[in-house]
Amino acid sequence: MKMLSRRIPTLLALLLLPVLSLPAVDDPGKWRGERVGWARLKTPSKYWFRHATGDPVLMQFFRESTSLNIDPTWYAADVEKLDQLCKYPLLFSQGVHMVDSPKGRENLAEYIRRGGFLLIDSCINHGVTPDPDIFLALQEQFLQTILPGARVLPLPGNHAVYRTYFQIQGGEPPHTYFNNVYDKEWRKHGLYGVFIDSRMVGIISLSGLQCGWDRMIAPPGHDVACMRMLVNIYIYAMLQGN
Amino acid sequence: MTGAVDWQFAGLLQGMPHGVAWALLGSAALLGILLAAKSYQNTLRNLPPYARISLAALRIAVVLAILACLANPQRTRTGTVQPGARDTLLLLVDRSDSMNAKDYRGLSRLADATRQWKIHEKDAKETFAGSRASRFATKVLDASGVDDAVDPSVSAGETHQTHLYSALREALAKSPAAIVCLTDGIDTTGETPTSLVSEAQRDGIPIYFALGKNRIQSSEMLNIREIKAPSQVLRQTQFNVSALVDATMPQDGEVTIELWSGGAKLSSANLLLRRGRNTLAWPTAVTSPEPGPMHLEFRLGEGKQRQLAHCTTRVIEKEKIDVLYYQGALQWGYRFLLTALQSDPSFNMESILNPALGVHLTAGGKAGHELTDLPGTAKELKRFQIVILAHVFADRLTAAQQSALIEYVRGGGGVLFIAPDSNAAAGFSGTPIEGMLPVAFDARTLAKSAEAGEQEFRRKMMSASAMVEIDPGSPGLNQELASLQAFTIPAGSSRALTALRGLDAANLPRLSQYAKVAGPKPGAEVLAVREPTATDKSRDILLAKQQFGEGFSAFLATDLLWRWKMALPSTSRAVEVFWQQLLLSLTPAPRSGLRLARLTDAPALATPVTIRVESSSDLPAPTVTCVSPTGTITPLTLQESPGRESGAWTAAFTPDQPGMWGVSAVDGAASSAGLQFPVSDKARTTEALDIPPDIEGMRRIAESTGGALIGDEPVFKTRTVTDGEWQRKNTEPLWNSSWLLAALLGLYGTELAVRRIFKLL
Repeated sequence: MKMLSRRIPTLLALLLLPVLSLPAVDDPGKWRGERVGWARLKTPSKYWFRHATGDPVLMQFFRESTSLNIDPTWYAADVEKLDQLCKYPLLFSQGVHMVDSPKGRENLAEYIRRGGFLLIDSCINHGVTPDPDIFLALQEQFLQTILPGARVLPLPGNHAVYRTYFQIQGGEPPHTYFNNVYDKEWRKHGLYGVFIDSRMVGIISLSGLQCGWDRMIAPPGHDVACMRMLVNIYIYAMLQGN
Repeated sequence: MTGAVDWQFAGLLQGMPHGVAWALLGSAALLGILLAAKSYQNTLRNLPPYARISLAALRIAVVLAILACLANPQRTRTGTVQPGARDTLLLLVDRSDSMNAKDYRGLSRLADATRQWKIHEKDAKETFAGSRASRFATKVLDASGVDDAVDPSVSAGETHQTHLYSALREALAKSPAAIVCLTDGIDTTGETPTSLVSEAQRDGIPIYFALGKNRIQSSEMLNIREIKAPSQVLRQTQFNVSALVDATMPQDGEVTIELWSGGAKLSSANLLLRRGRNTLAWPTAVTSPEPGPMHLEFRLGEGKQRQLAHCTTRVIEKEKIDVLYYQGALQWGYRFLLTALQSDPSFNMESILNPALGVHLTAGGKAGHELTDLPGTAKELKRFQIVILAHVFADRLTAAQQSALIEYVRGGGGVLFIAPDSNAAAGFSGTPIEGMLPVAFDARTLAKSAEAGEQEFRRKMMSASAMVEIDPGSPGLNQELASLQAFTIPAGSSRALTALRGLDAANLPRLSQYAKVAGPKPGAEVLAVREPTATDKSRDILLAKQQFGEGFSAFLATDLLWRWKMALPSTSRAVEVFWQQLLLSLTPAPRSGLRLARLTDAPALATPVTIRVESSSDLPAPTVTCVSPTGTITPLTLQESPGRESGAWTAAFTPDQPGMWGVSAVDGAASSAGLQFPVSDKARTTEALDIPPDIEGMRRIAESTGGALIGDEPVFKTRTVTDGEWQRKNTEPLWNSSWLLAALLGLYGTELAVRRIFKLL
């Protein structure tokens, strides 16, 4: 009997093993749609792929927390090659102001006119982006040049982008700070929408979301907060028409 | 069943001669006994002899019980079978008024049918093991024999109507070897014989008819039973209207039917009518004029016999199309489809996502009335002309949602089912949704595994020349998406979809991914297939459509074509044109407008005339009036039709004078409809209209079921029932009992307990 009583936990574990290994009923990955790739916009800037090493972490987060069938790797889309841009419905960019060739500018404009969505997120490293206000102005100026009539407008705190998938408390994006030192000049910026008429064709972030998910120095949980914001932007872009 | 009772071994020993089986079983038993005895000869501990013997005996008992179970003896009964219901002939005699009416010679149709039957009765007796007889008019009543069934002095119940088809179906339910029906082929219920023939074919029961004829002079009756026209149509488009004609003819002949509008004859035809009662539809195509009400009038026959029926269709400038979009998975195509439809204000798309995805989206709905999930009733779906199901999963649609979709399409809705994923599509195999779609799925051909799909995707994303192994630290992976595959219209297709017809070959849709299906269903129209490539010659179905009930279902086996949109110059409108045209082509015809149908066959003085009124359930009840031959207008009271959905009523009035009466109706949308018909001064039921026997109708039923019309030629094939033919063999397991299993386990458990007592465990 003693031997039997010693074996009871093992037997119970063996019996419960198949039950415990069953997938959760509401596993979002069960209902994945069409596969899509994640790409960074390749520009003449030497920083265009900065923090790309963290992108697979973001893809993994996408796959674990949503049913989006996103490829786990990251790709590059050269701004000089329109056919490369058009393979991705959303392009991530460190900043488009560095695109100086006429062909690159025309490609980017055509990509947006065909229905592509542009997500610009500044790196908070002062060596890359010394001044957030200047960065924002450069993006706006560039976009208005290539897309006459485009407007860059701040998104209010009650905008759907803050609640499309995750509920972003406070209606503002999480901010990453250079060396984790608070900076009100960065903090004052929320998200900005790029509009052509009533259609949102892109979003500009000055929150260093990529720095956050690449696990720069930041408070615990900040990486997840940045990825949640990014997921919201991505899914919001998927669901918008004109 | 009577005969000998025997037994036999089953399982591995089944079919072996008893001697061999017993020898094998005995050998196995002996071997088991020896092994059991041997196993307790030497034990880990010393045991007293009685313990050793007890344990060995228990194990031997277990071994023998297992062998007995494996042998599984069965009881076998072999014997002869007495002829049952399946071997008898069922004689069904029509005793309605039309069968009893006599001609100038005093001969009734019943007497003529009986005479014909008597000629073949002897053959029937030789062919069938036995016979039974019944009589019927409105109800089937058993009779003791043929003479009793045809005896005019024996009541057959209410005889002013004939429920011929229901009586035959009742006879089929008794599973006879064959049915012989003495009748004139008249059924007064308005029922069609379709279901009767199906049931007879399914059960393999031939139906023979002894058709009674006499020389009663038949009269002619014409009636426009009802007319169908859409409530509204677009200007300068072609639409269909139809009239359902009910006519009784003494001889084969024809009658003229015309369609008039605003004093102009739009179309006409000569309907061929056969002798007897005819019910046939006359559909005709009409081109709509400029916007405004379009009055349509059907005219059947000429002179005093002429019947009139009219209705109004509204011609409109532009139609609003409400689309319900339901998405089962997150995908980018929605953004591009929405943009394509938003470019045409005719479309209003209300979108919902599968709530399980956790994404909050209810776009396009009226404030406060947004849907949060796919409705579970057809009523909620009816406000949409089209429902798009994009990348849905079978296990995420409830039974109620699937039933609602089917009922919705059957009632005139349109469903576009989009599935780019073979696995997700195959999940619908065997579901009610598959039953509605124009293609069949094959659950056995599930597509690639997730891993294979991942590799395929990466292969597509990276060109061979720039293939770079994924390294998170390596920047700049150049990619080249494999060329998008093209739609093509299948060779030999006479009808290209409007959505594709408007595009030149270079602008036909192109896709990245598509689902493979087992094939199209009979009756489905394949509108587009995949263009074969150098490496893959298959022409898989990409787009198919079929009528389902009064609506349409279509299947698009591709993604939502966003990559095609992104591959085209921004100035191209091909994608927008494709989606808009595709949805327009699937938009069901507008629901029928106001409709009137006369339910009384032969209106007569002082006899109630009943009219059925149908209108849109969205509108208040229409106003209905009747107009007497002298022009007196009387409003009629509507009563909701029991058992019908909302929007259907009946109205009744009793004519107080003979002549041409009319009934008119006007609904809340100012549509009108009307019927005109003669009222005779003498009440006549259909039975009393002297309708000639329906020879052709009965011939068709008989031939469809393997029977025949009984005439002078022999129709029954004589056969001899041999003794061997009635042999039956029945086997029944003897030890199929849970007690035996319990005893076996009990013996084994006892052995284990005893082993424990003697510390062998």
